[in-house]
Amino acid sequence: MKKYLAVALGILTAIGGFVDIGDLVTNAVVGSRFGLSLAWVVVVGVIGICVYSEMSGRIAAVSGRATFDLVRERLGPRVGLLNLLASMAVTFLTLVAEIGGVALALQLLSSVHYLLVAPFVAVLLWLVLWRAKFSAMENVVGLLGLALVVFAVALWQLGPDWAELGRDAVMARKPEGESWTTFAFYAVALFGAAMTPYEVFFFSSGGVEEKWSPEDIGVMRANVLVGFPLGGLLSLAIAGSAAVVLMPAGVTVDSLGQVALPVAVALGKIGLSVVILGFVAATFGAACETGLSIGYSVAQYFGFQWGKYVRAGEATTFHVIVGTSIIAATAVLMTTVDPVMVTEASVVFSALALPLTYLPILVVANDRDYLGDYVNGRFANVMGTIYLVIIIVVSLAAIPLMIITGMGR
Amino acid sequence: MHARPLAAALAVLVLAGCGTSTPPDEQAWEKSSAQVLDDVAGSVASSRITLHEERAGHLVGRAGLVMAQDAESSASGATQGYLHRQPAPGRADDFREIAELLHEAGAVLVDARIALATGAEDEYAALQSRLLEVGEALDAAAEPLRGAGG
Repeated sequence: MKKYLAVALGILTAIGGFVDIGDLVTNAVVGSRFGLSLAWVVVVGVIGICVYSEMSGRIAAVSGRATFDLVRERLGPRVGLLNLLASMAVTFLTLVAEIGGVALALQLLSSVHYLLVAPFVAVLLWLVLWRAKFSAMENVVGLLGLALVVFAVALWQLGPDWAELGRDAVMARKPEGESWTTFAFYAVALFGAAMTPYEVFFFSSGGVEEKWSPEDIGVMRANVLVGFPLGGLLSLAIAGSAAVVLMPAGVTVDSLGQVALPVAVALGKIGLSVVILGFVAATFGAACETGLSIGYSVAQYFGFQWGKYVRAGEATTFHVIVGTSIIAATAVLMTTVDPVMVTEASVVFSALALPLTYLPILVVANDRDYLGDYVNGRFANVMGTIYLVIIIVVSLAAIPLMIITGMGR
Repeated sequence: MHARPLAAALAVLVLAGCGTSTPPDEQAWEKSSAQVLDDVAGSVASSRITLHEERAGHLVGRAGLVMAQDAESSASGATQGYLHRQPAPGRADDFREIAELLHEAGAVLVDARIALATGAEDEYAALQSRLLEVGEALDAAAEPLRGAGG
């Protein structure tokens, strides 16, 4: 019974923790401009994150070591450093966007400007990452993040023409007013948002923190293979509700308030309150994950003691790195840079850095020295290779598309 | 030996670069005009929906005000960016018409934000109508440009 509860809790937190500011903004922008014609990208992205999260979770469970630890050892310090720098840059950008997202969500409720709120969010974030228990942090924000299910309820309540939405999704019908290059740019952005590198680092490092063993592989797979696809359905619901309410009115999403507007239209005050709670939980949870991921990556690469299960005094450098990243991310926000713009940039740069993140995982997952009998089977390798090709194509296309379309204009 | 022509070419490039603003070709100008009209129309629609939801009692706390502020600042950013650029040759009159329409939209967005900030509920209905009208005007102005340049 206890095991089933653990599985259920894991799945629920995986659903609630799946959506972050990148998913919120990118799906709403895409929904308001392209309807559900890019839904297939979410499906492709979710399958991809499942494939690689399962691999990195298995690596953590069998070897007891996290991604960067093994990447450096297996591929050498130079490749490891390149991997570290690329992933850290993207994860840092994502941390800026997540802290900004929490501040914007609180601004929506209080009308206090997000720049005044952001430093308090940063202090709270640092306190949580320093003092709170790993499992408590993961479970609380993950479960509160489930509030975003309200998007699915709102979409149902809006009573759209399901057949029409389905046709858009299945036939990938691009709206007439949009160009193919913009369509491709947002496909890249959605894919980048679904496969953000920090999710894999956090997942595998979290596995090490929670001392997974090969016996936990079943539970880990259930979390990944059930939780993430259900999280992906939330992404589709965000895009769907924007498509139903905002697209016909010609509204293109460029603020967090507009992401929430369809829920207010469908469900009124209660719906809006729930969605704001979901925004805060999802972005704060992702800020915790990105902040920790930066600490994990650097500490694992340089071989420092790391982790939330270790006393703070024994992992001083790790906590200093986490604290410094939070301060630096808040400083970037205080330059008055638009958090929504940072979010849009972070998902595109995430797409650019994908091969550096995922290729080493595929290599390590095939190494018997680390995984013994748990190395990738044929299916995992076929899927991993197919996705590696997709990832390389997406990565090569990201910057040219960004320039040609002027960030999707 | 080739220093003089090279220097001349460099001087031309530098002077061209120092020019205030080079007029864009007609197609690019029409495309950017359609884009700004669409962007501002989107902000106007967003503000109109916000007012509608506020009237219906669907918004919590100060969310309506924040949404109206966001719409206003987004439209203002797009308008300023557009107005600072030169129109295509021979399109100054069209540019002035678009600029006037954009200013009108900006004014209604400001009025909507003020009404939401002060809770002037009796003005919401009239503001919604004004936002609808100016939104339609923006859309009508963008339509021919979209066909040509967009």
